[in-house]
Amino acid sequence: MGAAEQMRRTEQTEFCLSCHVMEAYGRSLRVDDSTYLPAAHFQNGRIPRDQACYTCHTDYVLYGTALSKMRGLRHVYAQYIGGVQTPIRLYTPYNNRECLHCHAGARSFEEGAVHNADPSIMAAIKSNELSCVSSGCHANVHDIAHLGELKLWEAPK
Amino acid sequence: MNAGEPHIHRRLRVSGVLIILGLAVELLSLIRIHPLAFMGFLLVGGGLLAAGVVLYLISLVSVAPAASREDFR
Repeated sequence: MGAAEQMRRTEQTEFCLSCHVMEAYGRSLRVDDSTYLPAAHFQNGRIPRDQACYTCHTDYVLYGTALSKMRGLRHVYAQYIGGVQTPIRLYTPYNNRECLHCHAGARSFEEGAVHNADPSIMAAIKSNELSCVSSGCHANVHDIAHLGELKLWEAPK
Repeated sequence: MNAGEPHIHRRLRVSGVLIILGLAVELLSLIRIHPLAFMGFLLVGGGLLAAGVVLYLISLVSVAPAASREDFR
């Protein structure tokens, strides 16, 4: 029971942001600009706010959760012993699979004008040949370098 | 009473203490939502718990041959 509760806690936004190095990434979820992908998802409830990091940064594969926990142990080591390498980078390029976990089948995605501008585009997106993020279409993600210049949204209490 | 009993009692007592300590550490780790609390749960609490269980099982296995010899005498 305790193990299940601990596992549930590791999925919480508060857990991920409790390391100092992640604070800026947490603030970037409150950027008051809908072109910022994580902020738009967080502020509009497209992802659970209390599991914001976990929802988008866990691989949706059979062992995705276990792999995330293993990476988490590495992160704890880096935070307290090994030292955090900056800038923080993803282990692998962001996989469209994580976006499609929710967006596949959604009308706004399936019928989107740009997604269907050419028949090959949708196939390329779904096969991860054309990245949602690094293709430049949804490239505004955690822009922590310019966070100081951006207005932040305050959630109503 | 056979000769193995005091030894097994001591081992069982130690394993009991280890398991209680492990559970206490795991309970304390639930106070905060923090990576260190998770590590405490996993490594310290889990370690004590595992050590207690292993010691308990070893104590049972190691005393069995002596006990069975006594029984059949």
